[in-house]
Amino acid sequence: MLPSFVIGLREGLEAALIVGIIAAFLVTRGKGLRPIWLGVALAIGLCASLAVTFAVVGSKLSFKAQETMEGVLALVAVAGVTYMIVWMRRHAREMKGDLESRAALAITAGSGLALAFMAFFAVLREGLETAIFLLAAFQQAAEPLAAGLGAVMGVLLAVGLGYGIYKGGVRIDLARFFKLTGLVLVFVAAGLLASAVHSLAEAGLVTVWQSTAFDLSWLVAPGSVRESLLTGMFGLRPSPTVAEVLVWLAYAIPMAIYVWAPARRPATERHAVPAA
Amino acid sequence: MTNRTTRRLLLASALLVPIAAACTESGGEADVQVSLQDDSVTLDPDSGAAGSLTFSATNDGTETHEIEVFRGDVDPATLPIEGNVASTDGLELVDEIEDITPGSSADLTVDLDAGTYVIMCNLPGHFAQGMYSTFEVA
Repeated sequence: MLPSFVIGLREGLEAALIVGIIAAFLVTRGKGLRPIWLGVALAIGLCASLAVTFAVVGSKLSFKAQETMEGVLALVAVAGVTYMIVWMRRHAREMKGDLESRAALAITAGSGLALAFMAFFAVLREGLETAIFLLAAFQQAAEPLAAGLGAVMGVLLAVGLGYGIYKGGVRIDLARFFKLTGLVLVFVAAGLLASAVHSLAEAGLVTVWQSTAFDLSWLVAPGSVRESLLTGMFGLRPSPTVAEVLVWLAYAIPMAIYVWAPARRPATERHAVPAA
Repeated sequence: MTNRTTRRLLLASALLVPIAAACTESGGEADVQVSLQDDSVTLDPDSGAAGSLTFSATNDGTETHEIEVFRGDVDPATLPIEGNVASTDGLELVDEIEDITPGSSADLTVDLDAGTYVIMCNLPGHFAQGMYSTFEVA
């Protein structure tokens, strides 16, 4: 039961975190959640029907096609998360929790749609593999029920963590929410970038710097709950390649500084003279 | 509420049962039986004819494993170990199935040309413990 639980948790966590943060973001902006659920439902439906089709027909996407697809979807998700980080960074300072600024900050219909697409891509990326894994878990020879339930409980725990982020995010104001979740988002995006590189390398499209950078399996033993939490949140695989580590650092360091650097007030505001 | 939950569960099982049945039927055509153990990979047989081959991998070990098929004429015992995993530079990954939990099986169908292939589990530490084998395609 534990092995499939761990896999379910790992696969579900990244998407659950992204969707939870987007949902909290939209609700604090006074927007409905319908576009998000639509994006999530569409992605789950698409993944489930593809997995069922593959299982019934007895075939699957070619290995290279699937890895390429996962790599490209990860890049799309990185672009989406980055856009969100920048948006939050720009507006966090203005947000003081009062209704006036809340109205002034109302996001446009266009960016709401963009966030819905992001939820769609976040779920779609890991969704197909998760759906295939869930089907396989229920079909396995020894203890199908225990394995299947383990996997489902892993996914449910991931969804629960995403829901926790959402509940927490709705309660506190945007500035604090951003400080807390901005860094999580930076790590999620850096991890997505590293897994994009990993997928594209497995597809044979990235061929440089493929030697192993270091071994973290003493810290995150493969198959443990700790591994699934760290891999799900930070995209840290136990034995990353040099290329994966390089893109991870190249994204995470400047973005973390960007998120945590104190917000600069416009010069006019700071030096405004009250004698008008 | 309870009614709704029951209905959903019934729907879910109605969906899953035919799928499970469909998969058991197609599972009987394996060309190669692969036994993944924590310290070995055993292939039966260890050679085959070029074309489409189905590897039926069963995890007979105690940990979660993967099966990876690499093209390349090397003795896997000589592959350097870097950071607890085998360096597969110069080998071409043909296909893989990750996350095979203990006791479960997975079928991997690949199109192979004549040549030598390395079948391994390259999760950290697993290769070094002996989880590799070679497969000859004539």
